Amino acid sequence: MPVRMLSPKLKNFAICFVGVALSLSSCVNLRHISEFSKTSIEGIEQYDSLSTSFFEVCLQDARQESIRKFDIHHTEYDCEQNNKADSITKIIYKATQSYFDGLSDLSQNELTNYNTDNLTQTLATGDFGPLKLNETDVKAYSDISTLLLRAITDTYRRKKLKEYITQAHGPLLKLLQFLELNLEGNLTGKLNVQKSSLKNFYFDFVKDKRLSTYERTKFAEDYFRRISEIDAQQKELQTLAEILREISKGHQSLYNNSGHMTDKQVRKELLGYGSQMENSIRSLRNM
Amino acid sequence: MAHRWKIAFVRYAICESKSTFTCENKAVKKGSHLYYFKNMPNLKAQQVKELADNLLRMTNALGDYRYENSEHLSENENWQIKELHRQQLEDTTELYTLSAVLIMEEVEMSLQKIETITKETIALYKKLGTVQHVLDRATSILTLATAIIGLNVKGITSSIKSLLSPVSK
Repeated sequence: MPVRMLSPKLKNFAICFVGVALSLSSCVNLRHISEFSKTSIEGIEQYDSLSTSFFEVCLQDARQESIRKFDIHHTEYDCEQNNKADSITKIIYKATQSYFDGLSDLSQNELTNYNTDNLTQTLATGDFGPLKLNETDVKAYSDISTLLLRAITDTYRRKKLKEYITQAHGPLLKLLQFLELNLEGNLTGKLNVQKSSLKNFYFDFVKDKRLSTYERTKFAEDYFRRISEIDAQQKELQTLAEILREISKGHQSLYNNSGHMTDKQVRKELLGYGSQMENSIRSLRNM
Repeated sequence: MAHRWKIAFVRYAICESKSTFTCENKAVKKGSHLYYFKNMPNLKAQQVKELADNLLRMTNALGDYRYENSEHLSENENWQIKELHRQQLEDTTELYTLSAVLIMEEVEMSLQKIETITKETIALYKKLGTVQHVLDRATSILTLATAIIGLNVKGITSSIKSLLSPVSK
């Protein structure tokens, strides 16, 4: 609406309010934080699609033991500790995911895009008895209040986001490191042990000259097939760990720049970490 | 006979890694060094993982020795090393699990902090979202008032319905 159409009193208010509002809200675009958080969530969620777990490795080890003993009847196994290891990993994963959910929700620009169209319409067309409201003025007041409302809530939101990111940084990095330790360290370690156990088992069959060439070849094939399967699982874990490291770097960038989160440099850095993550997510999905 | 010395050496190395245990000439009892690690005070998850990595390297050295010298080993020697190797691998995999379980003690504080912050972000998100609801609710009330002033029965009904709808609550 053109400003010249307003009454002089309203015109002054309008200029004053718009000035304040614009100065408060002009730089508040937190989409890059929201985008980075969403990609982080997508990356962390790849945990759910992993083809291995502590329990699975334990179960495979137990079955391998049954094969070694040529006994498929007594197959009791105790994987309680491994179940516990999975639960702990899942707790850390869920906590990290929830944090980024909150960050993503809070930083989306749409959150504070308030809509006062209904209010304007009612005020402008309503019958208030002897009170007559000028439609143009109503629209102007409404637009100004929306802008001001957004400016105030955005400033508050930015201040709170800075607080959350600063407070969460230490604990989040620790959780991500431990998640990495469990997946790329401990679970990969267990798979390395499994590889060694398989070699320990298959070696003598492949070398045994009392067996036929066909049997020995089949044993060797079985061995290499199992090793390839484990290699693929380890590759998944390694890629997920790379995603976790990108998340840590992105959050570090936010933490380092918490005073000026909307700067171009931060946007650029987050975009870089986000696109690295997207590449890793894509390659995980193609595995 | 040189390989016998090598076997003895590898066994000695593995036994030495357990510090407090005497292995003598037999295979180490299953679980013995796990008991030791579990009861070692202040052992962190990362340290247990590193111990497991080292144990795996040493254990694999034993396996490699068998693979490379299988033709020179007697059946009994081969079986002995194979069993020792297998048992060590069983213990090593348990060490990795132990490290993963130990993590819980170390992340407890961080988990609590993150959960608190997450709750705060959700609360703020709801609060900011409520602003729109308040705006809508104010509009509904105003619509009702307008409808009453204008003696519009149809408008009154639809305004009340709108006020009672879950979104505007």
